[in-house]
Amino acid sequence: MIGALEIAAEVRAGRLSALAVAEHCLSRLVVPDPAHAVTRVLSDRARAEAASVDAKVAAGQDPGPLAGVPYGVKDLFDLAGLSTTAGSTIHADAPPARADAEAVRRLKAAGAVLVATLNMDEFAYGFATINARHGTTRNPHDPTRLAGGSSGGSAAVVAAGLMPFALGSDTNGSIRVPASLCGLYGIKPTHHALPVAGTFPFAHSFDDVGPFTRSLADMALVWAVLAGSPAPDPAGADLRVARLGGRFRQNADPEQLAAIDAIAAALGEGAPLIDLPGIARARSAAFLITAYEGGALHRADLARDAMAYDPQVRDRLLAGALIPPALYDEAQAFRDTFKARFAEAMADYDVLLAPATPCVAPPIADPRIEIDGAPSPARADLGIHTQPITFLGLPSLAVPLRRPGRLPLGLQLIGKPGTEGTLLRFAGKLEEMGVTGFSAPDAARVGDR
Amino acid sequence: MSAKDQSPASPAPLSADAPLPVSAEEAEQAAAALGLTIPEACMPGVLANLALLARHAATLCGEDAT
Repeated sequence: MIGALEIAAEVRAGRLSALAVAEHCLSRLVVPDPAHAVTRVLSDRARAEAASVDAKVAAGQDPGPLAGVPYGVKDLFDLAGLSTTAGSTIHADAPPARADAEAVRRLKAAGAVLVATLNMDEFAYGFATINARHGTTRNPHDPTRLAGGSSGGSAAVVAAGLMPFALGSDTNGSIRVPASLCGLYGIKPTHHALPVAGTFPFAHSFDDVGPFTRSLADMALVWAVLAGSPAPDPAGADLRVARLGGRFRQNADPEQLAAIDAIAAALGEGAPLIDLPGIARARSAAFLITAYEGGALHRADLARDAMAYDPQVRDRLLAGALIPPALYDEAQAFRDTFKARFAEAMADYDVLLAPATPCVAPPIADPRIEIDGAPSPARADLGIHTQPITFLGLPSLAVPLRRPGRLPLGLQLIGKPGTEGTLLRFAGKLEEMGVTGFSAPDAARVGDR
Repeated sequence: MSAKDQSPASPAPLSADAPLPVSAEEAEQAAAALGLTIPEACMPGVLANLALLARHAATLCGEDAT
């Protein structure tokens, strides 16, 4: 399927019917989905929204900048008339939402057409999209491998070409991790720069929402609709770039590091390597804060019916509920210290380069990765490089290294608060250099869905 | 249903001095103080996750952690 920008241009010009686009998209979505990416196909809603767009075009009215563009949302966005399940069984029969999440409302107002809800780790607690109810989402680049998580369904459908964009949420890396493993652009905004109202929470200190796209142009377009204005780009013409060292280079694919170093070499004045002390502590503090807040959020449901939870999520939430408040407070206090330290170190730079994930997508049959030389569960540790950035509330754009025919790998472009447009501009430069860009999965593999 | 509707009330705090539970007995006691019961089938997984949290707590509190 062509991109959002192209679809909207054709629909707005009256050369393409939004309903025809929706029907084409719906014809490729099935539930149960063999790739375990789609959880609900919203055919009636999609047809109604598409018809509304076509009617506006026919009447000479402005149908919006995303006219007729199909998209899906992670299973934690409120949708009027549907239960917000957050990928769980325990909320499968929850009372239907009374209204759409704010992000969905803005997309609908811009003419976008919602076609599906998408798989996730239950309650967003994982980096793998291994879901006891809906199955493990398969990576379109290799169906025997994980798509990453927790927004794995969103990443998988965009990478497979089933729709031009999808929404996910990112609490510790749940957009950037699957973007890296599926070879997409995915953005975690400056904390709360995009609307989280009407989404099922996980850890309130870190929860954010954001889109996945195959192109930078689509990312900029969807951002502008979600934020209400173009992505801010306050940096000067000559961007100052640095590479994050230390922990970020200790658990990384050699090809990621080679790409980062090649980017540095290609920049006129290079990009120095900076090592920030405290990265491991930051990641651990984020891990503890997340566990505590997640455990507290779910305490009442765990007390009522713990066995209704996905077993692996349940045990994590129960353990998190037992974290003493003093330890949580200590983690939050370190956050304040670390933020100040990081801001000082970043003062002279506009963009920091780091790996998005420590490796390519792990096999579903053995979902473990190597961290510090030892096997570790992918569900907990694929976010080792995203979690410290979340801890700071900074914007981070995951960009796909250009690797046609190979398993995807991504980098993070990290900026100061409120500089998402700067990150998009630098990502454009990397595309011009031929370093990054979407590589479509092998069609035969997508056909295995 | 909105997200806020599904959030439980603020949790009752544990003792501020309490360490992370290590044994099944400690976990049961801490859970009971919160009105939780840890099902028997969950205990091995809960203890494994508590051990992981303890490693992160040690990293957070460790002076030489990088």
